[in-house]
Amino acid sequence: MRSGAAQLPDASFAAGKVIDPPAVGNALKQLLARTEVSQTHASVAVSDSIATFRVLDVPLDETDQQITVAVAKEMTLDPERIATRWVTVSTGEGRRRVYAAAWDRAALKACTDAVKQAGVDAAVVELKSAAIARTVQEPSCVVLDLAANPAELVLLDRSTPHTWHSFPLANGAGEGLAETLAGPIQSVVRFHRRTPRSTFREDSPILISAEQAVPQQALNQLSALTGLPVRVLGQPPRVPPNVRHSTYLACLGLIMRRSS
Amino acid sequence: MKQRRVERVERRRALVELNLVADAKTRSARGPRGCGSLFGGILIDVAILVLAMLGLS
Repeated sequence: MRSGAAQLPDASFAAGKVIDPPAVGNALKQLLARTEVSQTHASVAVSDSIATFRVLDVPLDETDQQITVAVAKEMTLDPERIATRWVTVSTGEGRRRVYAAAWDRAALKACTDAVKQAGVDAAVVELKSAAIARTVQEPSCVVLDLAANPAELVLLDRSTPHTWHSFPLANGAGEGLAETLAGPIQSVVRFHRRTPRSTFREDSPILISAEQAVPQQALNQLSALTGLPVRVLGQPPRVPPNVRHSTYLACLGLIMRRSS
Repeated sequence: MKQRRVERVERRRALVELNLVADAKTRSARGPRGCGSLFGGILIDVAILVLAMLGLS
């Protein structure tokens, strides 16, 4: 399996959004050539910053049309600018669990245009949080990506993303890291625990993906502040060092899709 | 003697699979299609490359 990563030209990409599709497309084309990849179809994970998502539990006897109405009510967004779609995640106990996502049409088009520019057809595009959720064994946890800028966290419950949040890390992974991380994690976890049918428990872990080593003391502090166990996700073997760990996880998640 | 049929238990986790560029007709989740489809139509290395570029920095 070949893999690679490259820097994007300045100002072509910012905070998860493609600003200049031709520039990103050209960089991607060069990367494909450099790594001798000639396939023309791809699965693409895009940043959660271009979208929002919700998980709804609806009665089993609700029709698709009723669910579409419920989703629209939940996500009151401009349909001209924002596209919405939902899927059934599971059924049981008289309920249907639905995952709904709404995304910025223009931002998604910029991503697919960039891929197209590189001569590749994006057969699947999904949110990074959904791809990563597939790779994590713990059904309920918080996955923290410290390599991303800004840092990102996603709360998973029953292996389904429930909340995505990004926040700046002023001092990188240095002084005061535990205190900086504890705030966003605690507010996301507290909010989620108040939702009906939450299975997020006191032993649901915080899993950290980082490029630099996180000091054990910071991990201990974070655990003490949040009351949750904290673990660092180990860097997988045989992955080039310039491919970030969270990028690797997202790719793995794309490969683990059962449907195309 | 007739053997009792062993009931199959779905052990796989229920996972979100939403394709943002899929046809709107495929709105409801389809059932799992087995391991055969794991790599079908999905090009692993391109996925990695595209992701590394678009993503997620």
